Amino acid sequence: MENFNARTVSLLQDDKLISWVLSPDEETIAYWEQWMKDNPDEVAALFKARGIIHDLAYTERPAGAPQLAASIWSGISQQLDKEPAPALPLRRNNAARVFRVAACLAGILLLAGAVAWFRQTNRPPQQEQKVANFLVRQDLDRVNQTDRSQVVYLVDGSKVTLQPGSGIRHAAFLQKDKREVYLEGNAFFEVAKDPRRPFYVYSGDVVVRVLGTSFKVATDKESGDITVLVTTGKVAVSKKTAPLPQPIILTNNQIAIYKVQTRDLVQLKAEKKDLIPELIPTAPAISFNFDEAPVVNIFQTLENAYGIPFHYDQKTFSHCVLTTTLTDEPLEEKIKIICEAIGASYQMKEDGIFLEGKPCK
Amino acid sequence: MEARPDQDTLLWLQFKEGSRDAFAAIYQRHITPLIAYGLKLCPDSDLLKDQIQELFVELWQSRKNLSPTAAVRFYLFKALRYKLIRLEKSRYLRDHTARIAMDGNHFQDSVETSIIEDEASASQVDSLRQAIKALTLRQQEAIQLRYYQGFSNEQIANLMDLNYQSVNNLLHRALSRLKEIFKSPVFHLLLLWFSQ
Repeated sequence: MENFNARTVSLLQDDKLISWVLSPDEETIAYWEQWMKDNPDEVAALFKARGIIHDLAYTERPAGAPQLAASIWSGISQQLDKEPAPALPLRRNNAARVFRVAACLAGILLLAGAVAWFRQTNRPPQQEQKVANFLVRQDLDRVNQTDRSQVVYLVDGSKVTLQPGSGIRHAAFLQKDKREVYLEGNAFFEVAKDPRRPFYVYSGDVVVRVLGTSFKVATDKESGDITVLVTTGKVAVSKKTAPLPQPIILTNNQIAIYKVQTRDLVQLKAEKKDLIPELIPTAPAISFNFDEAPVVNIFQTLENAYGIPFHYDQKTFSHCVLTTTLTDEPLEEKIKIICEAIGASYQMKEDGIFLEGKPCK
Repeated sequence: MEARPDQDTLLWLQFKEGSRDAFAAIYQRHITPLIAYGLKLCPDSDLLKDQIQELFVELWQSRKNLSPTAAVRFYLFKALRYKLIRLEKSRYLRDHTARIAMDGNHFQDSVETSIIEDEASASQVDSLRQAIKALTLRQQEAIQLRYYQGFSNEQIANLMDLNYQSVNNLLHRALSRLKEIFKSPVFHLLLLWFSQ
């Protein structure tokens, strides 16, 4: 704290500097990189101020917040459960859509009732949605709100095991040049190979770049330190905010740790491996084996696994059944297989997958 | 601070329509900062727990009448602060002399936390933590809102019922005070004493 002078105090009051430390994004990073070029003599003062903000934020982290949060939530849930539950929680716009379709068909209310009835009978509750998915514009937010690890699937065939309370955000169809996933919490990644489109995981200040491998990213609840553990393949780990990132290359069973307090990214020696208590979370994979299954159930399974809404007419597909075994192929492959089998066609659009076809006998 | 305002807005709308999932997601997104802020105003975590629980239950019950808001976090902070201030009979709140009695407990907390922390960095964080305790409670509140919660000075002014210039002054005084504390040899002696 020796250089804590008047210049530091004035820098500490800069909005842009605060956002750089607390929620860095491309824009703020670019701004400060340019600032450092323009003010080479002040770089030391800048880093000093940055360090102080960082420490201030760190100091204010509430100890024991996760336990307190969980305990408050259980109190809230108990009280809310005394009320009757809402009829249709978070079915996106489907209810409205079905209704609109019905209204178009000569406004026959009876039909709307029939469709609603179909929905209830044909969507068995066994496929309860375990991971909350939120599609905003083209981004998908997926949060594991259960108390056990859960597997979610990405359209490219990659798999992510989310620990309880952890979540990821990504473009729903990974439709950009890079496959980018933002992680909050802890997750184990099994990335499908695609050398043309590298896979990036962002967690706090840490960036992991992958070509095709499996690895785990974990954030320590108390310290905020971020650990990256590679089980197979090769990844490059770097800092998001570093002006000149020098990635650490990790291969099998190697670990890198990012210390929030010092903002140091270092590779651990192999023998320290047992310092990491739980190595890889386990969660049962979702089964894509279907035996004489109604396709509407298959669509529902895929919708849950990939977090992407499927739009189709319940009635049209209500008699279609299918026996098939799907595995690690990308989502689009799976849909092609199903569509071929039942003579349907599909379109991938911003707000989901649209299926059309003729009723099965 | 609102890194993903779209997400917040969407969740808020779904919550208003009665989605428990959206309500849970809102809770998850904001609870940690809210606890951090609450503990600043009310160090008694049992009391705080009840207040936050009540806040969310009331939020759920009145969801239909709430206005659409993008600044969900700000809304929650404002509501919690109002609640805690209404509870102001409590000896914990706001610049009351009785608060001195609490500082003992506070100190206990920080000692326990610092033990958990990485040894190498413990001394620096701990000295900062001690220095912050030497600030007035309003200064402490403003420092947290600015440097942990990432609120703008305008938002802090709105939240703390101050005008913009007062917030500027408050923060400036707080930082200057921290600067002095770090230069003072007495402080280093104190730290030495605390660390034994």
